Amino acid sequence: MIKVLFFAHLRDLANTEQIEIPAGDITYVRDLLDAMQPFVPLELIDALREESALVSVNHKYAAWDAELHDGAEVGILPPVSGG
Amino acid sequence: MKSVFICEENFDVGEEYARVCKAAPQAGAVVFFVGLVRDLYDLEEVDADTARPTIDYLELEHYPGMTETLCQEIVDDARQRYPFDVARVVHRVGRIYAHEQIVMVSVASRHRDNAFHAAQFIMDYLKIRATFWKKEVGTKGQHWLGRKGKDVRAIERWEAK
Repeated sequence: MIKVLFFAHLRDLANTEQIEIPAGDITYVRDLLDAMQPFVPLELIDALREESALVSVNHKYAAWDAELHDGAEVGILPPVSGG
Repeated sequence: MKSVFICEENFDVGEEYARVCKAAPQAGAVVFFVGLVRDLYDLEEVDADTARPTIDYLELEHYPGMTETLCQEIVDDARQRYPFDVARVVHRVGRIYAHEQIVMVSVASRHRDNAFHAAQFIMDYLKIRATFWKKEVGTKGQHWLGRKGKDVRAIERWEAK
């Protein structure tokens, strides 16, 4: 399974803080966009395709074309605004 | 002393100063920055014809685990560039009302130059890398804040040096 966490306005769009999806056919982070579709509203998928959301894999910033492995924790991260 | 501390409760600047001094007995300079929650929206967003809108509070969320790691990396990067004795980042999360403290960065070093530079370096990178998100709640409703151009430009200046 792959755990996917959502933050800030992307969590609002997802309507949930996290989902777990079967690792199945997922090879790269970007494969999540299709794999997540049954679990989250379409608005979130559309937003992720349009916006410059960042991703993390196991607490490290990662590229959308990074490889993903079973058991990974992925963060879907809007642009940050701390400090 | 942990160099990164994420907390919901407010922090005491005097206690933080004492903690840093104690951890850096050979320091000759301590620089600290405290960020406060503004009660006004950024000027470019304000319509001059209407009553001045105000911010009641921020909701701060973060990615536990990743945030601490990123903040530690930023402190380590600052130390490489501007060697210092001790640095500490305290960042609040949760609901933070206008005028309250939100963040404190302290750096103790032998001489003041490195403490000033490192504190600004840490603060600038915190804004652009650390996984915190702010939601403004006020007279204009509530909305999540995005990245600001001036924060990006601050990083470009560091990378050009």
